Amino acid sequence: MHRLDGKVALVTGGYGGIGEAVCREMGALGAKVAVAGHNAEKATACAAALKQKGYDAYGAAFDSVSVAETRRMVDEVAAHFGRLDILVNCVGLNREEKAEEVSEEQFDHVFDVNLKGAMFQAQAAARHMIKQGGGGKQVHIGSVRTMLGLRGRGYAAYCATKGGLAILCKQLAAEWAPHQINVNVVAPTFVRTAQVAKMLADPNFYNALVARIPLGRIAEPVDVANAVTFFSSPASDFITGQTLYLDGGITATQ
Amino acid sequence: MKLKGKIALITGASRGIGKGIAEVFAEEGADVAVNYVASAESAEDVAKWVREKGRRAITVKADVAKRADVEAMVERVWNELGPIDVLVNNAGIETIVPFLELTDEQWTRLVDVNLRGDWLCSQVFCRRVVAAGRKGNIVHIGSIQAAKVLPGRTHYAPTKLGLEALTRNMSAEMTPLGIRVNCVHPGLIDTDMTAWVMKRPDLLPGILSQISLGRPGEPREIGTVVAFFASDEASYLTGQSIHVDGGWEGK
Repeated sequence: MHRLDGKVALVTGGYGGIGEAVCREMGALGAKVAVAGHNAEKATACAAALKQKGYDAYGAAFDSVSVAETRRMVDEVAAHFGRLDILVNCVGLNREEKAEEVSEEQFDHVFDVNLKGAMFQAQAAARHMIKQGGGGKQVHIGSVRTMLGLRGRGYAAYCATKGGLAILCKQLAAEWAPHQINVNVVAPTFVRTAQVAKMLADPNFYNALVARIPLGRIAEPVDVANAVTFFSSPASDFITGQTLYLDGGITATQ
Repeated sequence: MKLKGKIALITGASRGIGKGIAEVFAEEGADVAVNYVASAESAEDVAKWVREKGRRAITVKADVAKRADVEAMVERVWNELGPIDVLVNNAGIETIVPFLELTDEQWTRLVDVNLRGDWLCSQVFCRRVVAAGRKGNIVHIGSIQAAKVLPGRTHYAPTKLGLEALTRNMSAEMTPLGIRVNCVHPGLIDTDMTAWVMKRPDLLPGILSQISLGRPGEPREIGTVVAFFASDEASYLTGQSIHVDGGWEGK
């Protein structure tokens, strides 16, 4: 019920902590995987590592804040594999600034990467899925900050864009359902990736973080990858427009 | 196979969504206890189907609203199939009664089965799991009506929204003890409970027009989601409720 044999999956932010795990699980389930990101070397290296495991993979570079670049990259991937069935958008960043100090430049940048980028990746992928017929699956990575504010930290831009992502995907799901394109969001809490390794190495931070999680641990990249492949598979054919919080119970209890 | 070697108790599994869940669970490698309250024959048909897939199955009669029934059910399944890993609280009833006409008895019976029954089965299951020092997994089956208004459901809809709060609160208490708790809200699913809707040309198009995918779901499309939630692949998922409704909720 969960196999992806013959499907072509594009994973943007594909060599990052979450993206790389998604690529691996996609490959293991039989999908052909395009790894995309701003760094061509890293995308190529990640694709090469996937190929070494025996998966069909391709690396592509693009600048996620450029709509033209996004379209060109998606077209390139679809041309390489001959089609596109799955988009997993793992591109995202945070620029922490106190609300009273938020700069226009940083706010715009977070918005461009997290929300505008999601829209135009989704659109470029959907154009191929619509033209091909036969439907498609899109999964975008949200955050517990899609739902929860954070006291004492400068998260205005991040929360706004991750919250916006949920309703963006609900709307895209409603518009593209006639084409059998399902659009959902997987919204994790802290995931053990290289980007947050330094924070997690601080025992005070880590212990306070885990104390708030009923499940008693942070998320591993494979937890996110398993949910993403579920939403990419026929097992979730009747789910669209939903946000699934993958958070060890945080949003349920806070 | 996502549920290889797991033992699952599914309430209300003789037909409809429960049957779809039982079928997917068997295909994913689980042994299944098929609970029913009225139709022994249909329950046995489901159990037979499970056995044909090479898994073990028993049928067990119990009214989920009665503690003595539920305690006897859990004991019997535990003794005959082995320690239960997964409880799916699927049993439920639906009636349509205008608010001004609803009686105490109608309210009480429906809430007893749909809300108290899930709470009761969960408590009996969790006590047994915790006493045995094991881990466990619960999936509640809610409804689109946790989010959407349909006429004559002032008793039904609160039980299904209530399951969300039950899910959150049980998750808060049980997750640290090793039992994950989640909820799946089905939309319009093609079953004998909804057959009357499918036959109503005055109602069906209006409902389908609200469903983005433009079709009812199949019982097995709920089964595949419940199987994922109950599997070790979802080991970080707890306290969540998701709508499996073809794009109906939230628009």
